[in-house]
Amino acid sequence: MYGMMALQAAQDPAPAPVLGQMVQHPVMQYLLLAMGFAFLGLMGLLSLLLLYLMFRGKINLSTLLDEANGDASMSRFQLLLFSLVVSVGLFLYMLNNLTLPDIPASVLILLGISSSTYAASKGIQFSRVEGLMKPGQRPPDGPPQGPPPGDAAAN
Amino acid sequence: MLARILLIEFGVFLLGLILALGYQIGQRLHARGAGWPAESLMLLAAVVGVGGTYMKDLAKAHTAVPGMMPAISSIWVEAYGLCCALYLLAKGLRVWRLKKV
Repeated sequence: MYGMMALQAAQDPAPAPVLGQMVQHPVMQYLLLAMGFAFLGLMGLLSLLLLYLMFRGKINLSTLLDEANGDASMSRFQLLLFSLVVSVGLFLYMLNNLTLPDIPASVLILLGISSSTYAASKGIQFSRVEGLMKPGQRPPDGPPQGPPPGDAAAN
Repeated sequence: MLARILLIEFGVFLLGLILALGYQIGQRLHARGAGWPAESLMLLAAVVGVGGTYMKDLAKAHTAVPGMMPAISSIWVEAYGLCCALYLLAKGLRVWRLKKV
């Protein structure tokens, strides 16, 4: 039965592009434009709110570039900077051409070097427990390493 | 027109985000009096050099090749890779030389 229905549907002429006609209607055009502006306005307001809260200190991202021990992390910073540089490049290109560009291999290699440096730096930092502690900080108490002194006295 | 407005909005937001982040990090470093070690400063110089050069290329040539973003010269990529390797080596030595606790 479903096969017959599919065969019948395939033999029928293509349905009229009702949706396309509706979109081309002047009222719909105005409606779509109004919705687009409303969306952009909402996004703009949310962006401004986010930036305002960041400048007022309500949203604190200053630890974004910190190492595990509290030092400033250059590996994070360079990854952030290159990501921003490439995204600004993409942004400028799209602003001028309104199409997505091909990204050259050298840019991808640079991003790869940057990400690998970040990952390797993270590995180095976490390879020893001393690298995770602030200067003067004591390590957290771990499990007991041997029998308690009382046991040795009893034996 | 809407696409252009959206892109401009995104650009303004991106710029504001960078400024806000820089402001917060600057305040935090200033409050703690923290500094960066020598290998970090070397990598910072390399990042600023390569990033600045590429931004200059981006600003100059929107489309030297139509449909493609400008490339980075291979000498810059190699130099940056070398700087990253030196940074990781110095950081590895620094962590390796930390006293046991």
